[in-house]
Amino acid sequence: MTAPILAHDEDEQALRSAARSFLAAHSPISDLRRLRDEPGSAGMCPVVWKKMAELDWLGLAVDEHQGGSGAGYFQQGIIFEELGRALVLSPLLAVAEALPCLDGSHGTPVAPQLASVLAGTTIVCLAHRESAHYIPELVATTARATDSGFVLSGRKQFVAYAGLADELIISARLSGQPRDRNGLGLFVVDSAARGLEVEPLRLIDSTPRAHVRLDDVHVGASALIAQNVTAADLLDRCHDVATALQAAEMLGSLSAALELTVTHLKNRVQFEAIIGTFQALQHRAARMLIAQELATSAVRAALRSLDGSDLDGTAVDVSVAKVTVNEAFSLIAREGVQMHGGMGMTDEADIGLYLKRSQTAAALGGDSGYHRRRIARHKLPQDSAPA
Amino acid sequence: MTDHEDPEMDAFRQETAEWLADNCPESMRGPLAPGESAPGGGRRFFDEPSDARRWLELMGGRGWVVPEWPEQLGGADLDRQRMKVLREELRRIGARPPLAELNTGIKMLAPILFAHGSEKQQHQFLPPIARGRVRWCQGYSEPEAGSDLAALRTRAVLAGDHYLVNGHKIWSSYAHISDWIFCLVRTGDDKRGGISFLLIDLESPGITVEPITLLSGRSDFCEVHFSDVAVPRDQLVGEPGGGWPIAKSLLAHERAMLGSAGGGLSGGGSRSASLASIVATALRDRADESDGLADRFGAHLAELHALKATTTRFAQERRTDPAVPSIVKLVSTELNMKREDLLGELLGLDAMTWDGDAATHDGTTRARAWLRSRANSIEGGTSEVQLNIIAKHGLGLPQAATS
Repeated sequence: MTAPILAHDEDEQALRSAARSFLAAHSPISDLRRLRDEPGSAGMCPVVWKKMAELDWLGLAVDEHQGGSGAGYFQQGIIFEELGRALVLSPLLAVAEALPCLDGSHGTPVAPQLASVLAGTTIVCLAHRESAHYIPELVATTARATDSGFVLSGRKQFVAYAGLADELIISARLSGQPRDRNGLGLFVVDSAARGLEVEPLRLIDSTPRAHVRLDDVHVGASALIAQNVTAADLLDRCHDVATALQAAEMLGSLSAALELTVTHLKNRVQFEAIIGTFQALQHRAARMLIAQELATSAVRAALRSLDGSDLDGTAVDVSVAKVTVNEAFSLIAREGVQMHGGMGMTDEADIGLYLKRSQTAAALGGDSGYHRRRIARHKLPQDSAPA
Repeated sequence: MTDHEDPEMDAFRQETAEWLADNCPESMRGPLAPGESAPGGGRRFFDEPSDARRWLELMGGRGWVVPEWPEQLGGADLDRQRMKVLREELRRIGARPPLAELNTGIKMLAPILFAHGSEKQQHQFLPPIARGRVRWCQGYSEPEAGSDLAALRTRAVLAGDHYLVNGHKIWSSYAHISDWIFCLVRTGDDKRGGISFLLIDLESPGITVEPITLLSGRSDFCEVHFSDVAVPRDQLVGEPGGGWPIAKSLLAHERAMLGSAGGGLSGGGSRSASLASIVATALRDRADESDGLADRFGAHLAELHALKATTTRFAQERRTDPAVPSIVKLVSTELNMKREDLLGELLGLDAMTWDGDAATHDGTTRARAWLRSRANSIEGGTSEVQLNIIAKHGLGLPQAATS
């Protein structure tokens, strides 16, 4: 087996610098505070969103025949790293998570709305989560069959950009118990449907989210796009894609947080000395760099894996990436605030914004405990793996 | 495998396969038994006839111990494509490595001689390394010069056509079974500018070698005493007083070597498999703790995968900054130590047996391995020294005003 290519080539480096320049000009970190503080904020900048679509950032991993560029997740990861650096608020991750349900790549027909999703004019998000904890197998929401279609009832939680979505892809149970792998269905539902209520909230990092209440929402038979094993496999794919891209976004954030902190260590003077000369701080900063290097490699390996076809290997690589970035981001953000001293606790210093993101991001795509046990499950002999 | 090769490569493959079929002794095919290791070479090894010696002689004679080296220096001048074919053909018959992978002469000294040695030194010293004829060890640390290596005191005074060496080296791995030692010696008083790099035959009069018993009960490390040892002046590598930069670049080679070994990156597959089977047994025996055990195992694998991806990426990026080998050394040695800790927890007192009729060989081997692993973060530059290097070269943090 040959090793995957994890270094960036010239094209990829060019993509990175183009994305960085674009975001520096159009979505600096000050926009995060503005979007956070303006009354009735949508939690995104529509002008920037439109430009992102024009740059084809949505379709990077979608096949050329379906209107994407077919470049792959490895390249899309570079975009997410840059979004993470600047802590950009946008629905890109939410839409990227839903795209495998729409682009015909995983056992469902190509969705009629795919072109307008890739153009940024229609927003479609996956509404799946039902707990404050990451339990992807948990679906208690029900779908009851009727003569003309289905009736959905239940409550989805912490769905990113649900308030802006035109349509939601909702997981619901056609049969079985809440944690069964079989008996699931995926339904495309208009967000204005009768009985569907969006309850908005924001977490500490200011990304708009919402709980979605479904009280006897009637949908037609054609709303069901996947069921049973196909639905379960498709959800796994959506989660792996979202987790790996989120890990890339976190990598960008933690890299920027590390740079901020190292710059501070090189400039701040106390006891008549630059504090970066103190060995106690140097060793901790060196640990932060090591964590960042490991995270970089693990994220790239996961993205490469997503572009390949080894499903078992992808699951492990994605979980390795999430565990590694969770730990690196947590370390760098916490140490970053500590090393900034009192200034690190103020809203004025950017380091605190990264701390907030590190806390929500670690919990959102699966916390480290979840992914460590998932790696173990894949690597232990079948008969001994814990449930 | 042979589908798309050009005729020239096909011919090389066939020739290689035939030679290996005729020459690789049957006993040198198939994996090493537990506790067995490939030979380190050297004069003592060549004193006793054995299949392993015959295999090393044949491979060395063909230049295939270091096939990428130039032919006149003991290699076979093979290009990458032929190297790949040779590796594949060796693997196909399950041939054992003729020489242990972590060879001090090949991995540490040879890069220095290629970069800094005179033509005469290269022709004198490299071919015996390539044939496994001469086993080398390292003479760097001293009782008063550990992490502060440049504080070394072993002195070499020029007396006509030779140096007279007096001093005391410590932590020289396998010095008791080695033939030659490369030493850092003091030829001047300037802390770093007075250090020279000297090659010394361990059979020279005035040298005594004493193994040091370690916590594990084993003695791979030695003290080496030098009392008026005469060393020909042409065995000094580079310029007198020019040893420090050479010493530092050799340390980077050492870190790279230890880094590749420490994390179980060589033979990592079988090491992970053995850990997996021990975890599986523990999960069956202690089902009530299964979540915690799976968590620990998953954490270990996550770190191992991330480290492997990192060494792959560093190699592809051709990164040469001094922080790179330090990062790999630090992470892989800590990972190995954590692996030994985890094995200890999984096996309990069975992994702490020492002696007595009821003590098992496996348990005692585990106990020694755990004790031995505690040295991983000390040898080859302590973890603290690696962190200093990473802070300076990786982050560019300023240095405190010290001596």
